[in-house]
Amino acid sequence: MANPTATATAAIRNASPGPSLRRLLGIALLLAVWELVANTSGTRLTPTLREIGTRIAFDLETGMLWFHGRLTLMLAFSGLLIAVVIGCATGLLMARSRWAEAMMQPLLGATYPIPRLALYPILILLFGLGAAPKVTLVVLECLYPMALGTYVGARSVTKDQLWLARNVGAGWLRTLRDVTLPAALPAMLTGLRAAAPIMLIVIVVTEMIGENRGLGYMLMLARANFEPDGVLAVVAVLGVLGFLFDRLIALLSKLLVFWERGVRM
Amino acid sequence: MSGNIHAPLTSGTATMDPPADQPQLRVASLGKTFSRNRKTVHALQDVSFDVPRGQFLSILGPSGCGKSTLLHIIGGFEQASSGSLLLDGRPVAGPGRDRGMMFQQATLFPWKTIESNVAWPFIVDGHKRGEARERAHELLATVGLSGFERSYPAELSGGMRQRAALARTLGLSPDILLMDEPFGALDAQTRELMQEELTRIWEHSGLTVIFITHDIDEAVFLGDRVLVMGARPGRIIADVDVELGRPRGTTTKKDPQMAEYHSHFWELIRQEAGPQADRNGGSDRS
Ligand SMILES: Nc1ncnc2c1ncn2[C@@H]1O[C@H](COP(=O)(O)OP(=O)(O)OP(=O)(O)O)[C@@H](O)[C@H]1O
Ligand SMILES: [Mg+2]
Repeated sequence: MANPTATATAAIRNASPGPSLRRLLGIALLLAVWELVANTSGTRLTPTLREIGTRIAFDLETGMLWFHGRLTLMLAFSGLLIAVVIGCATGLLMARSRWAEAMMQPLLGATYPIPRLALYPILILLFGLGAAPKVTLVVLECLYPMALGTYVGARSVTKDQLWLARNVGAGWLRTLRDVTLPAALPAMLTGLRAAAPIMLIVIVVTEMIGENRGLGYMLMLARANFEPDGVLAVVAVLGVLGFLFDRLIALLSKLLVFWERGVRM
Repeated sequence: MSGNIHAPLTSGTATMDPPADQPQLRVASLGKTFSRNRKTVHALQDVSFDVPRGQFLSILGPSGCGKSTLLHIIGGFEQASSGSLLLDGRPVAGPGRDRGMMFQQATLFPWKTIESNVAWPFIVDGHKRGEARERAHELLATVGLSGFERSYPAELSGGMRQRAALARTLGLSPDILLMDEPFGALDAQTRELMQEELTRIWEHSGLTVIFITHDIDEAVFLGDRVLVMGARPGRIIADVDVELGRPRGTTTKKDPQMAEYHSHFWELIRQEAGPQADRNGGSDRS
């Protein structure tokens, strides 16, 4: 049986547990190569790990990182939250209504390859500078993985399960809560896992364009002052954040989708 | 129920009760055609039979003859294309708890424990959580699954899953049990045990059962009566009462009468698969 949900969660499963040392090996290798390049080139363009670390500590101490990081994360999560709500609703609607499915599928397919970042200037014209165009762009980008994940997940509910619910006399709300959503959960979490890094990328990129706050701005400021260590400090922080979010969602999947492993909690 | 208030004014409530001779289920010239990509499949044609209350009816037929379709229509999940279906004299409008459906694959929710799966209909019905759990425990004891309440479906064998599904279906307090090859996916030994278990539960319950299978011995061992269906179009080719004594058990399986029934039904099915099947095969593409 080709179950898209099963394969999707299998992907999560393969990445989440396992020997943690081996998973850190790749990162260690990257850092080692960087350190080697930094030490041999000796230019300011390639600061050493110690220099980047010192800069992060400095930015933490001055409160810059906290101030800008908080703003970035607030916008990022607002966008993600809206995308999750709209995406889940769209995905569920598509899975349950032939009409919605027929309408939405070509629409999503046609708009997916469009670089939505190109819409940013228009969004600025529409909403002005500030939070609104950034959040909107995050929503637009994160909508796709959420809607598709929910759609695939909700489609994985079998006819037998729905008929069973009808036999029992469960209403549509009860069926949604007790049957459709649990069945869709694994694929929804896969969608969320795809959306999280997109959220960070989009928000930082928009902050790099004509903004005076946020991690993207901090990065551009360091660039303007010709401080490569400042740029890389922000990049490193973004990397850590992205990694943490990914681990968090993986852990969430492990806890929520326990039945796919056949192990009781 | 509100009619009771006026009961003294009317000559009696007896008119509300179904006449004793009325069958619980009446299937009359039922037909079902599926249309897909301009191709029509006559899944059922002119299927008629009555089921009296409390009968164990086996329906036997080759794969694709419309057995599931028939059961789905009785369950109210699908609509007949023609004919009528009367339950205690009333037409069937949709699914209901009066007809408990058991699917070929045990349709348990993998995210719920066995206990929660069996308790779910009670929760849907508005029972309190503790009460629903208590009822679930009783039902699980009936099907011999005590001690597995907290297990998840993935941790159980196929036979145990079907037992749990049976417990959940019994929890609907149905008048009719609709079973679609529930033991089809089980190994031979588990299957025999489940047949004996079902016989035991049914003999104590007074339920009407419509049991679909393509296993001749299973149909005979379980049934008071066996309907044999033929394919293309799906229709009834034989209606035989099984005259084996009750209660039935391991000894019944060694009864020489079993072998007689077996060869009788086998002959019917063989004939059906012969030239007649070829002749009717052409009408499929009409
Ligand atoms: N939803 C459907 N759309 C189109 N054709 C269908 C549909 N459901 C069933 N059929 C067709 O109707 C016929 C009867 O199907 P059905 O599932 O009732 O057979 P069955 O006797 O239960 O077979 P099996 O023993 O394999 O379960 C088959 O030819 C099948 O292809
Ligand atoms: Mg079938």
